[in-house]
Amino acid sequence: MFRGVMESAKEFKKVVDTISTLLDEICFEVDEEGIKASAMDPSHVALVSLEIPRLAFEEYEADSHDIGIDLEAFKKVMNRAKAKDRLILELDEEKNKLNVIFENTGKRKFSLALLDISASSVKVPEIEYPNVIMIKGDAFKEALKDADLFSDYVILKADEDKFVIHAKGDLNENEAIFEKDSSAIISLEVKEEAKSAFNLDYLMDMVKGVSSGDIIKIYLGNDMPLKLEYSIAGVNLTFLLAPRIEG
Amino acid sequence: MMRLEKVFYLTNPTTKDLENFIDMYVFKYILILLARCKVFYEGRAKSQLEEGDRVIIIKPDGAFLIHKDKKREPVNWQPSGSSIIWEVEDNFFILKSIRRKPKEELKVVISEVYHACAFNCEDYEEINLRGSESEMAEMIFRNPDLIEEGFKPISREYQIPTGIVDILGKDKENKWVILELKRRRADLQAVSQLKRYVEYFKNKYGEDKVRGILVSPSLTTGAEKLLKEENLEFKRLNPPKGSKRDLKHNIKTKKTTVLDEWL
Repeated sequence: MFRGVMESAKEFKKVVDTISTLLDEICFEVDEEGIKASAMDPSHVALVSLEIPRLAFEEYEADSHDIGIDLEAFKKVMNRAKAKDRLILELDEEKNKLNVIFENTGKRKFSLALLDISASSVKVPEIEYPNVIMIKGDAFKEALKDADLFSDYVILKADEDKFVIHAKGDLNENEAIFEKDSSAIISLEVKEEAKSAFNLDYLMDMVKGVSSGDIIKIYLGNDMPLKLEYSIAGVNLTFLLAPRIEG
Repeated sequence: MMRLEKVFYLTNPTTKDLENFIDMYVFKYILILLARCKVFYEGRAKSQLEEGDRVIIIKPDGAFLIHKDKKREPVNWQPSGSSIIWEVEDNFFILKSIRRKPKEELKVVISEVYHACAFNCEDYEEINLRGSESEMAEMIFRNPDLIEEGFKPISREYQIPTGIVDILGKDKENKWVILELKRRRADLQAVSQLKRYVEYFKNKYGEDKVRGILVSPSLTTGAEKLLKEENLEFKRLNPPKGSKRDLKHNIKTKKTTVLDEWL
């Protein structure tokens, strides 16, 4: 069986919103510890991994299940969540459905057909990164929106003193500079100066669910995949994005 | 000077060879496959094309075209910026071209490859360039003082054995003036072009009777250096406003990799 209750459906909506821009479907691996899932996007440029510890739920009860979900449908349902709705997720093993229930003045129930997909074997690889940057989510997100004015890719640079987001179009360019002591930077640990380019579209999709209070942890190396981590509503999200390199 | 090989090819390659071949050249060179294949498309619509002989073209910018033996248009295609993945399944070689927004997937199931070719295609020209440089030329003809006081344009697109001079004219001291127009930042190539034209006229009319001016919004540092060395001049001039917008530059120097090698 599986049943989990979350305090805010609206917060969980952000999670589904974010992963559904990158993935079409996902297999939630549910067990008594919580929920895990990871998958690569169809073009193998991005990897999405999420972890919902049982503590993120108000009530949680589960044994082992693989729950395959069409994210497009899940997103549509979650878009119907209202501000004060509680969220109940429960597996109907008999009908092979995932029930998504919004509880407020009454109960609104949606039943999603399960997809026959197995848990993905891809996991976030254990790569050692020279640099780790913790930055306020909204600052990073705004810098990416700036970059989007002129370019479809962005160059992230880090040295001892600053973290820089740079975009260059055919004619115009833009740069966001976060000095080590600026208020947007929580911490800047740089062992080796690094500079890598990434597809901006993907990157913006990855931070879609970030809101102003959130903090993003960025792992950056030279021509290495970018790793991003942040949490929404107790859900830990990890993203990996392949670098753009000289072709 | 070293000349890089331009064309590489395989005839009736094995699946393994083809895989290596594609791995080596995709996104770098134009890949052309003459192959027997089925094509499945899913995205804004859905389509399926049963097996037949086709010409598959994969350009370094990700543009993906499948041509039949008839008609001008490809029977199926994906625009530039699409990503490509490939795999081998039950002896079929499968190529997928994926576009993210809108989400579209083109899947080509190849049963036989007759010929695979990789072409190191170097092409720095853009199709509207002539048109928009001619807008610059028009502007100069209407207002020659933009170049300098007393400049008199005489001929446009003046043909000489080494190429076509954008504008040929004379200055107030009656020296020949060769203008090379570039509507964007001019590079070394632009300077050497101008140098060629100027040399031709110098041979004809004498060393001190000819000036060469590169006309563009800006210069690369390399171009600036060579310009000085060759005693050529530079005139900063922007193409007229409202002229045709630049086509997005075709030559991508960077490509997005896939995550597989890290997992």
